Amino acid sequence: MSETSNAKFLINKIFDKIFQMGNVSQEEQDQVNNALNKELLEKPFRVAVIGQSGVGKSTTLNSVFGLSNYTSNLAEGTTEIVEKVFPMRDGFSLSIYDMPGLNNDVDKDIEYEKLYKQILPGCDVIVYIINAHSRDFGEDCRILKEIVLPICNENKVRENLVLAINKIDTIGESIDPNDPDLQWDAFENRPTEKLKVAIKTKLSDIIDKLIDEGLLASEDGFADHQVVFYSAVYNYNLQDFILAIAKAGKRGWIWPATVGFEQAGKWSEAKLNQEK
Amino acid sequence: MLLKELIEYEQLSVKDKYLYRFIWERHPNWNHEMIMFKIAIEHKVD
Repeated sequence: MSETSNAKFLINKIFDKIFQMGNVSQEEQDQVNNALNKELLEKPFRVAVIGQSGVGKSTTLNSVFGLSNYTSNLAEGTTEIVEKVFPMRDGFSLSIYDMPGLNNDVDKDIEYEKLYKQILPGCDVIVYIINAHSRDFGEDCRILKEIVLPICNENKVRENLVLAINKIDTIGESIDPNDPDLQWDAFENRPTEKLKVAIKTKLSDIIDKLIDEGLLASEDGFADHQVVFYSAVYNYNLQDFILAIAKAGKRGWIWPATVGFEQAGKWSEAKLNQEK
Repeated sequence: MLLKELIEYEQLSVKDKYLYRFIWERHPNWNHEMIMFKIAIEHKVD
């Protein structure tokens, strides 16, 4: 059930301040507030999450969007996507489309592609999650190049995309699971110095590959602000994630202007490029 | 290099100019946009 709170959303507080400073009449204030509330509350903030099995979709939804104990219940071979609406507070709702991953099964892929075409154009944010320590991005590249990007470009929602590279905390384990210096520092909740170097190297390789595949730095591909690296399980570097959401399409700003801002306050201070 | 690209390159910091040349040597088939993209991402993970 949606909560009711006395605390205003961040965007409302900002406008209150502007009204105060600008000596705006009550009538004009009401006009602006009504228009704003219509934008915020009339329809849910829609997010589609796409990713192959095991990339951390559920953990990402729990961490980034503050959903308590969300679990992906997608059955193998499902061809029906149910919109799950989560009432947050004060009339604001978050809607999640948990999209099935495409698995190189031609028949299923054709069905899934129809679902993608049906659902993605109506989403405010489309998150495509990749596992940072995956050895082979071939399948992800194929799905992005052949299905997701063409659908998004055709429907002019490419700017709503976020390419989310998760599990950066596990990069060290994939290099040498027995090296304690390559383990995540759970006490400080940040990478060790050696792991930081490993993460930089691995992420650089991933970016190189995605550029070579034409997915980044191309006319129809992702812009740099649409690419984020994070660890959902440690709530690490999620600030960049929320920034990418804020810049997503026409309505991405709604998330950080409302519930997202409050969610960000709960995360770790640790950031990938935090200065010492 | 086009004029627009040259202007963008000249506006880079000294460190980023070194990075530009380093990336270019490593990826000789990349265009200016790709290199600039890589520099932007490098800052994210710096």
